[in-house]
Amino acid sequence: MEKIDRLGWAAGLSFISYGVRLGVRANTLEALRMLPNYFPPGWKPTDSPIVERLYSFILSDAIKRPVRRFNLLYGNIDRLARTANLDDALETFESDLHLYVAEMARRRVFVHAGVVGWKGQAILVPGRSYSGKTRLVAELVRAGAIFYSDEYAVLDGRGRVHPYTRALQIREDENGKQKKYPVDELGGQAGVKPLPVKLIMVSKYKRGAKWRPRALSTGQGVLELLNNTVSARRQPETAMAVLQETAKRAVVLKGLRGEAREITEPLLAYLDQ
Amino acid sequence: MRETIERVLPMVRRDQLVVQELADETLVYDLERHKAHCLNETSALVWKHCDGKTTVAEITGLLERKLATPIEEDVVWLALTQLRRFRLLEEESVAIAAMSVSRRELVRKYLPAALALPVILSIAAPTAAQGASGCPQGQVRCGAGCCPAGRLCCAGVCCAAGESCVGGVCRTVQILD
Repeated sequence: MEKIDRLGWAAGLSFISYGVRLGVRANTLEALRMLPNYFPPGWKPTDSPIVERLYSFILSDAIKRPVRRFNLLYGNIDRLARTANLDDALETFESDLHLYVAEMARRRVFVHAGVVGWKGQAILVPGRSYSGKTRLVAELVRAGAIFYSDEYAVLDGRGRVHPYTRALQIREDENGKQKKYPVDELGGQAGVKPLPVKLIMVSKYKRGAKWRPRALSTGQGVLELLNNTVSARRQPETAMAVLQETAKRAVVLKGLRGEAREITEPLLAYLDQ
Repeated sequence: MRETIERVLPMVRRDQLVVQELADETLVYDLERHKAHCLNETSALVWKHCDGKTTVAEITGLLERKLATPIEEDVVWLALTQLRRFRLLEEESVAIAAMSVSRRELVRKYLPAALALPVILSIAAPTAAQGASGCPQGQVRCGAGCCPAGRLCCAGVCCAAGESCVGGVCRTVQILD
């Protein structure tokens, strides 16, 4: 850490997100001003110099020597990125930061899931990457649902889901590169208030599949959610209690699905019942 | 064998488990192995009565009364073999390990009684990074994207085919004879 400390930092900022204290520092003010765009929703600056994780960011443009032209990113003492492409460095920063907050959050449980709201209730679509949750969320938003998240369902002790709204990140090439779409570009709007979860839809995309879901019990629903919970190993007791609160009030359906647009209508119709 | 079976006093494991009871199911998280289990009502009832003092015959009787349907010992044995497999019993019982119960036969036998046979669903709890930003099968997560199969990730950058990661930089390493 001392070696990194000696690199020379122009400015720093400490902030709090979901009860987690974090810090960033950069070699230029310009770099530091850029970084808050990648912070988790709802972050707040703090004066405390004590943080749980410190990110150090070196912007290559600021280095005049012709030899070093890489952007460098450290998370505490670990080098997370060394790349000439600034966007890649920033995406790595965003991904690591959000995951850290999701794992360490004090009073919330983060589940990998897409979430939309519909008439005061939420649909939660748990799933890992490449399960097609973002595309389904995007289709639901186009159909009029309120956008809550395409990455994490943030659950509280009462089993409600809170908005985690940032631009939807839709994959556009086979290398997994994502393009960001602000929710208003899709003609939708972002949620503000926490919602009770009415439907948990455990589903994976399969080309040509017809959606014929089967209902799961509450316990099975908790297991499906836990399988996508970031802090499952770190705080299983809290996670299971919160997931139980969520699942016991919801219907849990599981099954393969085809194209997202084919099931948006039946899903929303289900919530209308 | 018969004598051994009659003397079996199954005992529930208590250490390093987080237990949460739902209306008809029980959730168990194994802190040692990081596995989560969902016991259906029948499994959960058997598990709860494994106190090291109650025989299989007695557990069968308790289950019969609770579920209000005639049950034979084979249902309890099926539950015990599953509980043992998921390491939810205290001791390795030779009799339980040796017991072989055909689930298929039990399904046929108890279908008319609409009895839910013991079932335990289990998952390995994910690590924080699992599923966070995955890549298609065979590819490696690297920085903001994924590296194609067979290519190394070096401090957030995919190395070219044949390159190695040396001191955080992709380099072609030549092996000299």
